[in-house]
Amino acid sequence: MIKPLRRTHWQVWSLLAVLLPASILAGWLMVPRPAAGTDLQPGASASLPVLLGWNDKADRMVSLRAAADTSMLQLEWVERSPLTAPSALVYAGPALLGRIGPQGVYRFSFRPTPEGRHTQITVYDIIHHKILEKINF
Amino acid sequence: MGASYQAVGWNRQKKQYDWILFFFCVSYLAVFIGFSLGFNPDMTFETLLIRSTSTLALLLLHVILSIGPLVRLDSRFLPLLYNRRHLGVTMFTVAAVHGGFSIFQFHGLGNINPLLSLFLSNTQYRSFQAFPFQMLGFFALLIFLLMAATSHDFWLHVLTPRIWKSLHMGVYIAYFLIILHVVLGVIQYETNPVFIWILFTGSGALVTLHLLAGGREVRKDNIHFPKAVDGFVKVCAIGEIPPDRAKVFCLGVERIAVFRVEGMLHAIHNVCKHQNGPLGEGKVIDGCITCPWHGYQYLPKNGQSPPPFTERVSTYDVRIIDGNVYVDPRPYPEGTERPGAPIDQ
Repeated sequence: MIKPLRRTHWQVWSLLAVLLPASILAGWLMVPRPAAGTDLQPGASASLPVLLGWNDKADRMVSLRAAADTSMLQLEWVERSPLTAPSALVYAGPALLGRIGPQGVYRFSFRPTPEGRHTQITVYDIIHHKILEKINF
Repeated sequence: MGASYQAVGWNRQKKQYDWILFFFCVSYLAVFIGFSLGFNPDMTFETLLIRSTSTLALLLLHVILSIGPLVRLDSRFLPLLYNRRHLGVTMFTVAAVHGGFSIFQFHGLGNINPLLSLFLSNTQYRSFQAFPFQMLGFFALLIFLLMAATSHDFWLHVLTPRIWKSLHMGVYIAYFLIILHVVLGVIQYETNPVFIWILFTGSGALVTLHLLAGGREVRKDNIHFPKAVDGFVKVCAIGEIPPDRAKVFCLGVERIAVFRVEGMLHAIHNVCKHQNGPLGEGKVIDGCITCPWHGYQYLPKNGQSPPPFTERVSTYDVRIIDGNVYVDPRPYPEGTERPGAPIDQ
């Protein structure tokens, strides 16, 4: 190897000695961290014992359940196939319960309204501002 | 060394080298694919191929880049250097399979040209984390393609060793692009830190090797010799040069190799005309100075390759006074015959 090439090699590797670890480190620090949980309410681990009603369709099964003393209601949503809507928020009357997404079981607890036993569940696509479904219990 | 160009100048060593390389590559791919299927039986053929070839190409690239400094630090690694070009072409082929399948998998099924899609599907050029990393791999692959296409001695002769070497230093740019390609690609979605440590270890080892070897060469170049008397510089004692070997000195602009051959000292330019190999680290075989890299040969008295070859290097005057060796650093035109200095026993 000739002297100018030796010098160039030396300069290139001195530069890489700085650039390589800096790039790897920067890339490592930039790795996206998993988003913190932002659920509207913690996922209920089990169904409440009293079944008040249900609404069954091919792609989903929705049940309204209650605690033994009826102090707490629970909406249990079993999504059997992927949702076609990009966004689906679930309301019990005017109260936002949470969001349903991919296939799975979603449980939302809420207090009964003082007006009575009638509960209307609304599924709303907030991106297209469209009501996807209304279920009455 | 050949009098005419052949597609591949096969010999026993090159065949051995290539068979070992072939079996290594096949074994690596088989083991990688086997383990991947063991951990994830649902993985598709394209994904398996993309992942296995990417890691193999990266591994081969690290091996290729480590050969140069390893040889500078320990001559036992010289056999690795002998056929390094085949290693490079193999690495390019494996990387091309990775690139080709990646473009097919990620860009081939849309309604625009896959190459256009490569550049247009992600245009976050101002973001570091979301930078279109596939483009970095594409440009690195282009550099490897250029290097593989010009790797033959024909191109070395046409382009001249100086330009050819400068062109092939593009491998360092390609290496940096590949590291960024990995850092901004797989590292961003593989959460296991082992990938980062592998990358740190590989690049760290390469940097260390190159700086160690480079530092040693710089120190050799910076050795100061006593002031010239009558144009001659005292370089060493006769006893420091073993028979059929040389000692190398950097006098002024370039290195000079002083060989001890059949009771005589001869000084020639240290740089081989083929690929700038260090002639002074070779030995005398059949009366010819033989380059340790690829076996190019030169006659000690005139720096000419024996007929029918036409390579020539500069020669220098050398003297012996009181058991010490003196060299005149002013070169004679390439191929000029000089008498050398007889060693009195």
